[in-house]
Amino acid sequence: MSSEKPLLTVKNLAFSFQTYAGEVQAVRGVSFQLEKGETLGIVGESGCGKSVTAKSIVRLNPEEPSGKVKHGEILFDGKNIVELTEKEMQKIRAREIRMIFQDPMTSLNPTMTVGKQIEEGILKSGVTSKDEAKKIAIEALEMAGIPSPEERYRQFPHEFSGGMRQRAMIALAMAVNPKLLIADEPTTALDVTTQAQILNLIKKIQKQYDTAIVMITHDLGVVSNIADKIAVMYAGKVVEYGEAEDIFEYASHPYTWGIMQSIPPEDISNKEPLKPILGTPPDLLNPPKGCAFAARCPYAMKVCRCYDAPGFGVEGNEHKVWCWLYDERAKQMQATVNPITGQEVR
Amino acid sequence: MEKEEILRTENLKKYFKVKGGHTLKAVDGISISLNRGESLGLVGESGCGKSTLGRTIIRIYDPTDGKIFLNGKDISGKSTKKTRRELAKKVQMIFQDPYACLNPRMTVSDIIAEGWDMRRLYSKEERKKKVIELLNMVGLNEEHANRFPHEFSGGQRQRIGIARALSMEPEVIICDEPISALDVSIQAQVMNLLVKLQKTLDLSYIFIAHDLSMVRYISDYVAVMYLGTVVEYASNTELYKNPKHPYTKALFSAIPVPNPKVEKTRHQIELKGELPSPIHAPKGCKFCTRCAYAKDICREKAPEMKDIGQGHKVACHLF
Repeated sequence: MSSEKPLLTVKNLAFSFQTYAGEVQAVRGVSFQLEKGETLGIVGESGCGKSVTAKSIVRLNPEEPSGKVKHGEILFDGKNIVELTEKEMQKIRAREIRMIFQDPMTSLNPTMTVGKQIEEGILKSGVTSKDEAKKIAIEALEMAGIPSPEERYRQFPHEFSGGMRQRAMIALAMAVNPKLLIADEPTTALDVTTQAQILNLIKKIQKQYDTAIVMITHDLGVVSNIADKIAVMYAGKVVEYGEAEDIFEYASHPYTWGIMQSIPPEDISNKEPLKPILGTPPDLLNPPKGCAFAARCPYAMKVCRCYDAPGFGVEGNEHKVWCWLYDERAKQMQATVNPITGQEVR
Repeated sequence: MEKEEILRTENLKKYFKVKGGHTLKAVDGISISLNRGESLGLVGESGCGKSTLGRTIIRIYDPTDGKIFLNGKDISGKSTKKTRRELAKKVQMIFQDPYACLNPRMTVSDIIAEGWDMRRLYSKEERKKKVIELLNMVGLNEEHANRFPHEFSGGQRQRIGIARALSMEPEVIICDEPISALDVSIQAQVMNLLVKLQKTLDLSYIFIAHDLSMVRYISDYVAVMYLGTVVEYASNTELYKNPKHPYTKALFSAIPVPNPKVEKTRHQIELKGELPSPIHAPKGCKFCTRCAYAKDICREKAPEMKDIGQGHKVACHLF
């Protein structure tokens, strides 16, 4: 780790939505750090708060009264994003933090040519000459691997295929050379072969510009491909955090075990049933007391249903898990075998 | 035990007329077969015609050409109300989007019993008993019968869709991406249910999906499709161990492995370019525009399906 300050620090962030039914606690205390040029993968099921976390960083969640940062701070380059004015925020969104979304059709403007949209972004970021902006836009399209960029510059989003639209989104995001790219399920709507192309493109651009990336996905294959660090989220909280290889090799949280085991194994000759996680995620209108996963967890103890687990350090570099199984007292009570490593929980 | 063929298509074609007098060849000469109690996986990228094939078999679409045999009987002729009702008893379908495929204004019991009600099959008591039986079979219970679809989660809705498909006691179920809209942990639940039902009811599945690991898990045979044609067909183990067609190889290599150590070091075949439009499909082998091994003959002549041993068939000039 470098001694420099990290580019992005999220500290104990909580975000809630006000609905007719009451307060939905979408994010309930999330912390992580991100250095320059690094990729953090946020993994979790739908509704676990991964998109809300990411959108908090660019402040694209609904503002008060419908949405509210309950507590916590987001430090980006020394500035606390939670406290910035909308005007300052717009500047950051124009130059420093860019976001790409799952569905490129709904995030591109259908009534504007792709080139104009990219150009608009570039002009907002401080380039004043239109010719200059056009030149940068075409370069960006080319960098994103779009063939004949000059022609494509004049076309509308509907003339692009799904993969090409996502490339255009990447061009739009990267044209201003941001410090941080937030990618919210960028390949979920794409075919595997296109997904492989887009992931390779993102990695290539990251290398070139030393961009930090927050990658949101539910696909364990995709995070394996791209992430340096992984945060596993469940019901609005990070339950496990660490370097990608440690998370897979020394998976420690029962939820992480669960999602890893629900993937069909390589060897299927005996056609064993898959091992799903039983039950469904909790309702975040009334999150349960204690660990939110306790109701679905085969290892749950009494304490899990009463108190939130603190973070425990486990095998690996900066690898942490929020689970009571790693408390000294739990280890004395019962011996738990980690189904991924096959070793006893220590 | 001798394998009994339950469903077979012969050179099945489904063309759509599109604007400008063009023809979209969604399914272009497909011959597949399915044995009783087994699963056939159909894989391929979006737009390769796998859903159209499923829909043509169940006669949502009328085939342009070719034949479909169910239990040895040709069902590809003109469809009338009578033939459709007959077919619905034998072949059913499960859809991808559990939110869109259930009528929001009907209760779960009405959804499940719709087929019976149309045929005036059961008395009120019998109907109720049967609905509960089906609900239990798919892991739901009695109290769910009078609720509406919006009260359920995605996984539960997919279970309702499965119960509806089972209501006519079909022999074949076409599963069109049944799990792709669900979360990973829920996917495994639904897959286990499908496998269990197959065993207990001796069902045959056509399993359409783009998640290759799930197809691998459930299928006995797999057909890889590209632009309306089958490019490779083999038993599950054989295909995954020994893929032959350049497209199959590229497709398999594109799937990221959920293990960073392996994933970050493994060799990947990246396919260049995009899927050509099925309206202007390339001449000859349809994959020739993206194939690294394309020769002159590939651009001229469409390859035939060749058996390269043990029922492993490839449509490629390299073999």
